Amino acid sequence: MMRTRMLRSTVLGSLYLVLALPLAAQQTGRVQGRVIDAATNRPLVGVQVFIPPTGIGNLTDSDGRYLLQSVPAGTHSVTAQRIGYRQAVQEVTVPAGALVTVDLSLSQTAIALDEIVVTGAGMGTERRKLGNSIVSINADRANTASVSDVSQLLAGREPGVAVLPSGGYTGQGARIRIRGSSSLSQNNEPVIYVDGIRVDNTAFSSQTPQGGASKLDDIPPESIERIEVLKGAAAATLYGTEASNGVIQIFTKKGRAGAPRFTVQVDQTAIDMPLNRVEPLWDFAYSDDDITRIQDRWGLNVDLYEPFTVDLLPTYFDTGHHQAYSVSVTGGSEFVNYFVTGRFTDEDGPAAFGDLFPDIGLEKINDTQTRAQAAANIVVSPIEKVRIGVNTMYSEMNQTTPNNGNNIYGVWPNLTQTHLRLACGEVGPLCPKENLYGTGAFITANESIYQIPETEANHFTGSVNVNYTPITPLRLDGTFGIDFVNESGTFFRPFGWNVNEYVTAHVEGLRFISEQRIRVVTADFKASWEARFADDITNRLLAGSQGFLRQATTRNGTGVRFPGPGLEVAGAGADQFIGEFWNRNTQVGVYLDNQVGWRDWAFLTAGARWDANSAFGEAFNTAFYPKLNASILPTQAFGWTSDTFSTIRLRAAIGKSGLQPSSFAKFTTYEPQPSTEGPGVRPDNLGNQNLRAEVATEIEAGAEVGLFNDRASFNITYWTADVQDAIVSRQFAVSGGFINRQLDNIGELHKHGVDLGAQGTVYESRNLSINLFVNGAYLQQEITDMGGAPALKTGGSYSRYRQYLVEGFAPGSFFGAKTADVAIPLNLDGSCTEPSRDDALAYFAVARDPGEFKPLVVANSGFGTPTSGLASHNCGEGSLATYLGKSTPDWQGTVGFNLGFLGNFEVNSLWEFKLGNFVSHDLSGEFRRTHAGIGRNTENCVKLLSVMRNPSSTADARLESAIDWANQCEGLAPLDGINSINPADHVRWRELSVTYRVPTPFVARFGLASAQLSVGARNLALWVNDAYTGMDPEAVTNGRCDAGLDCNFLDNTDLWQLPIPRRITFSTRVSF
Amino acid sequence: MMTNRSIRLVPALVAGLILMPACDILDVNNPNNLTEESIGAATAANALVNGAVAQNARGIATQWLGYLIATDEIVWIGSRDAWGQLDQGFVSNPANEFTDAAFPQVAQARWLADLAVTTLDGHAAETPTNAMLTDRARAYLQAGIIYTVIGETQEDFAFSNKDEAKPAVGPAQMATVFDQAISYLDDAVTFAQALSDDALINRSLAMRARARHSRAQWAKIKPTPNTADPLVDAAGAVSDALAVLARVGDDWRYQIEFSSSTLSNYMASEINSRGEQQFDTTSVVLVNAAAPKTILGIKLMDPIDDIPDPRILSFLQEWKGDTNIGIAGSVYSPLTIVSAKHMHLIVAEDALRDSDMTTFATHINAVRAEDGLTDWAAQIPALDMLIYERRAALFVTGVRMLDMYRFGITDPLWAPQSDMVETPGVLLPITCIEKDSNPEIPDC
Repeated sequence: MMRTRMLRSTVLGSLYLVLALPLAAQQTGRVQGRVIDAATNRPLVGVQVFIPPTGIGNLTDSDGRYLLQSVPAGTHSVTAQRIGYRQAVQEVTVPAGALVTVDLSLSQTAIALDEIVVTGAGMGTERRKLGNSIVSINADRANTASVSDVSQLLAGREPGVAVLPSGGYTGQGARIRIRGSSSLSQNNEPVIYVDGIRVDNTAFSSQTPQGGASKLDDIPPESIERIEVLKGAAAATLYGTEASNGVIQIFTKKGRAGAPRFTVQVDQTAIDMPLNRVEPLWDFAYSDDDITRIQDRWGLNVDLYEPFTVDLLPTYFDTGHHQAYSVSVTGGSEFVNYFVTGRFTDEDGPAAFGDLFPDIGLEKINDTQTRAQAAANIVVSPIEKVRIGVNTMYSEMNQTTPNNGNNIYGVWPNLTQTHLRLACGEVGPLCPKENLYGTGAFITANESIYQIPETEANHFTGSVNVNYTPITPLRLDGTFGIDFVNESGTFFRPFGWNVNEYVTAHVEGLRFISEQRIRVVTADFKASWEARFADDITNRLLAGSQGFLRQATTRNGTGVRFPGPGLEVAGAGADQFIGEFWNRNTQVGVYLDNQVGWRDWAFLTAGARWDANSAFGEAFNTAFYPKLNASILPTQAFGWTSDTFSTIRLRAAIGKSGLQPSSFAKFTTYEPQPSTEGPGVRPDNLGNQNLRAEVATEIEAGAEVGLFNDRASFNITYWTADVQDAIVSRQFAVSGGFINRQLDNIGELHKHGVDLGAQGTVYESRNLSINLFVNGAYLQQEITDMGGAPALKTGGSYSRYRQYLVEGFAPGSFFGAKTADVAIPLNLDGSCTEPSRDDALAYFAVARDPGEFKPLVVANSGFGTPTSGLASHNCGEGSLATYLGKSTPDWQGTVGFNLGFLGNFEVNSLWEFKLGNFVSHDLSGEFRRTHAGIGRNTENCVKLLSVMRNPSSTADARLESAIDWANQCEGLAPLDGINSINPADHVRWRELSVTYRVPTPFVARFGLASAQLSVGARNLALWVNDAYTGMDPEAVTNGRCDAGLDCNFLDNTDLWQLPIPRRITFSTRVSF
Repeated sequence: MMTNRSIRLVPALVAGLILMPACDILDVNNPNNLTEESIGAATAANALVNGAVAQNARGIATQWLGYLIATDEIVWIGSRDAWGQLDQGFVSNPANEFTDAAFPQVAQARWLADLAVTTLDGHAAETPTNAMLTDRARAYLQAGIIYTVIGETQEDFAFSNKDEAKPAVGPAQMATVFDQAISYLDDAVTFAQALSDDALINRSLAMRARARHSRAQWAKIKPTPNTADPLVDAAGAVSDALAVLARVGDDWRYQIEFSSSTLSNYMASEINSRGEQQFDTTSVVLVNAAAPKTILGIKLMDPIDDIPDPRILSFLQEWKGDTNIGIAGSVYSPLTIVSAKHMHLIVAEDALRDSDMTTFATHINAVRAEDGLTDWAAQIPALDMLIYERRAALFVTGVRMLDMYRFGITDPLWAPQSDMVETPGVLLPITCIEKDSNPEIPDC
């Protein structure tokens, strides 16, 4: 009975809507127009044109045109705003059924306090009313040739928002850190929202561990209207648990009423590997056999101990190619607007390792990525007070990357960690195995190219938003959405891939397959009530609730030992393994936020959020996050008029937000471990029912100053944050049986910093405008408490990684060995004392190999108190005796300019810098300089080595070489890190683009609305501290990863990554 | 027109709607692993013991690799130089990444075996079924095995329980670890005999023989090796060994097993697959220095027959899983923990110590005859014969370091200033992962 009644109501309601819509249309009119830059008359794309408070709005197209439909008859204020421009308002009277034209011109402004922002405020709010800092990034850069994905769109735009590239392979994703790290153990990536719903931003479980892409880049850049960034706990309180790393919210483009407008963009990119960043390969002959091999393989006649080089690096790479094609269409009617875009990209990177070897019928690895992306947004306004938006996004990605990173089977290491003297092509007495590049262990470079890691992923995001305004001051808003990622990964070694019979792993083949499905469901309901009391006081109350459900399922299987060649399925393996892992996390929260305004120049906001989370232990049910912020505009308050200081805003905020523990860390568990006698178990997780969220409390205070009638601006924010109850991945005594680390809320992390920014128009005329900008972020971090837990080292027991979490130091600080600053830093007799020159000369009276002696060091990499038994290597006082530096720079920022000239030309350039008190670990170089088995092949160290080993050298020459070796070449166990952890200050020319907008009258002849041609470049040049020994300070071994000690803090350590390549892009964009 | 009162209720209602179902959705269980409660159930008893078997396998394979690299059985040929430190005899470094990685596996094996013993004692008292009593005997055997290996390989050890840290027992007290092993094995023998389980009886007796013999060897090398009088007096070990030999054939072995459906052998994976180590290239196997991963032949020559030792060949064929020892090989190679040969050599050593050359010859030759080698008839000194037979017949069974110390054998790779040269008798340390996390032990 009740169902029948409901059905009848629904049908009648729908009928009413259908009949009522034409009637409603007769009471409305339309507004159209064009928006241009007031100085250059250039049409402005992406300008928000709207009529407050009706909710009616639209964006300008590439020709600056807009159309507002369903405008109630009457007088309205048509408002236009765009990031970087002063808001323009024009009164207009719209008769019923009429089309009115309102053209607007916007003047550039360096300060945008009237800009509407949403993130962190719950509802659209003018920036000047918020006491916390919030960043808004215009997505226009995606239209130029220097930006091709979302990560690049974010990089270098705002102080404190660090986008950290991983390395030079195709598709390698970037990590994002906002104001440093907020957790010692959990994910430090900001949470990502798209149109109000949470999207999964965990790393792909790529089969090339350091080559994985970023899910953020699944979003087609053309679909983005703007990005808002909340930098920390004070701003992100309403996002509660998981928000202390900051929040990035992406707003996608909505449709524009009018006839369909198509935009097509084609990009062609050349990719070039900067070989000047890689040290050439050197070696010398140790024996007559070596001389013969060198003659046979390289055609060189060398003497014993004569250093030589072969210029191999240029043969490893060619010019890579990236292509991108996108089509967008927007349009709509009075009631329905749509925006649809599709994009296809394909990249074949410069690594051409497979081309070094002939085809033998086995597939060779490539460095490629292909992406197909689409987004479709529809906004329906069925009745005056209701707006329904449906947003969808879909991405499909395929990536293959050469086996890389810290991996003995990697291709790049086996082309660079080689001995030229061992290279040989024809098997014989001097060549037991074909070894064309002289690998020293494990696998030949030839064999390494037959390993095929591949990742395929599908990513769908969909949401429905219903906005209802029953009465003017009350707005109800509900959003429901789902984000779904389905990832398939494979790693394949074919039967017989040991073509040189050198590698001994899985010679009969291996195939690993994995499927990971991640689903994030978001439900968000909120209501806001705005009221004005008397003339001076405004009040806005916001209340809402959010729920998130994240579920991940991983299934994998491996087949090893195929019966013969040609089989490429895991099921063909004689040995088969399967795995399955299930993870779920749920969170629900409610929040309340109230903002009081006084005379439009003082605003005070107070709010709070309560969260419950399934990951909290039984002892803690909810987390509470309060906030308070204030914003004051003295220039408006006191009617201050000054051309020099045209606008001043002061703001301050305090707030908390959190980060949850991982889903199942609270449980004491045992994992399955079968034995040959039957199914079994072993200890897994120690468990902790006291687990709770770690809570960051942030205080920030800042000012924004508009100068010279807002032609220039300066902003500064000082912030300080403390993370209490920081979750430490604590190692309990392993003799207690539970050897995995256990999460425990025992830590404290303090950080503080300053965000600075300045920009301005230094010259502006009809034919020329010059804008300069600079921003910088100062950051200091310190672990103030580890709760009595021992220092934590990255890489577990892998001694070559030298980054630690140590109380009193910045997270990820480097500790290791350091050569003693003495004339002869050699420990020749194990006494840990500097030898006399006579004793040293006596020692070097005969040829020596560096393996026979060690440098004299002021501390080593891990021994305890010196003992006679360890004396030959140990002259230090333990693993943490020598602090070698931190991994985050004091200052990071951007300098750039925008130049517009002749009306149609625009030049943009941007340099990123990292400066001050930070170091990077050149672990690749440490291997290449030191390792007797697979290294010792850099020019300087080869030459020193040849002198020391040459019986014809003098003792003096050997001694001098040994001293230089100790100061420049020595490395690895037991002196890990020595000579290889050095300052890495650098400046990178990140972007340059030149854009030409073809004059509208010209393109109109071809039926086009607009056309532009661009040439853009990325990563054009790198200037780095002379002391830095590595290839690229931005190429790091951990790649795009998620959480955990290594991902978070094994930063600035390079091990066998590629330098970041230069990219030159030619782009054509037309609209019609 | 909505009233002010109803407007105020909106957020509360919304929150309530969300939070009502939240009571259930916040209750998320972990289906991937077993909980503490499940482990205590009688139905999990068998799995607990099986887990101890598996973790013993993992722990011993991991521990033995570092231990044997420090001896003349295995050498480092790869890229990770901390193995090279062990190869050169620097075994006392608590920060060595490989001994530091092995220590937790051994520690977990010990703890899990103790948990199995305690839990099975309880279950056996409550439900003394044949299956439960068998599992109890198996638990005691596994505990005896891991305590024996700890005694043989560790300079010191700690016995904590979950997050309750305990101090180290101290190097001088490590004999108590053997005592505990023997105690467990006493019970294992008793329980196995009560069950008339021949396999368990053989294994438990043989392990007790090894534990008793190793305890005696430990006393020979501590505090410093007594190379002048290296032969041990281990009457209990001899009687156990003879009891075993009376029950089994001369080809009998008890092996730690690995398989693709359970777990791989870390040592085999490192040697056969990764190629990070090789069997000693100086004295055991023949390789080309430019490609040392491929074994070309056997170097260790039988001192009487002057032929490549067939025991090494047999070992390598089993290790590789193929008659061709030049191939990469399996990652599931078994490890022999006790054998009839081992028992014979325990008896032979005791006889030699008692100058009972007839018994000595009987047992030495029983070992040699198993592989078709010519009988020993004093062609070389008896002690040399014993030392050689222990090397060849007990290759990669985890006894070499104690033998090298007590017989005064040095590895040519040991550096003059290494621990093994400067402080002979030293075994593997408590490593940094334990030292730094156990408040009862000084940090690294």
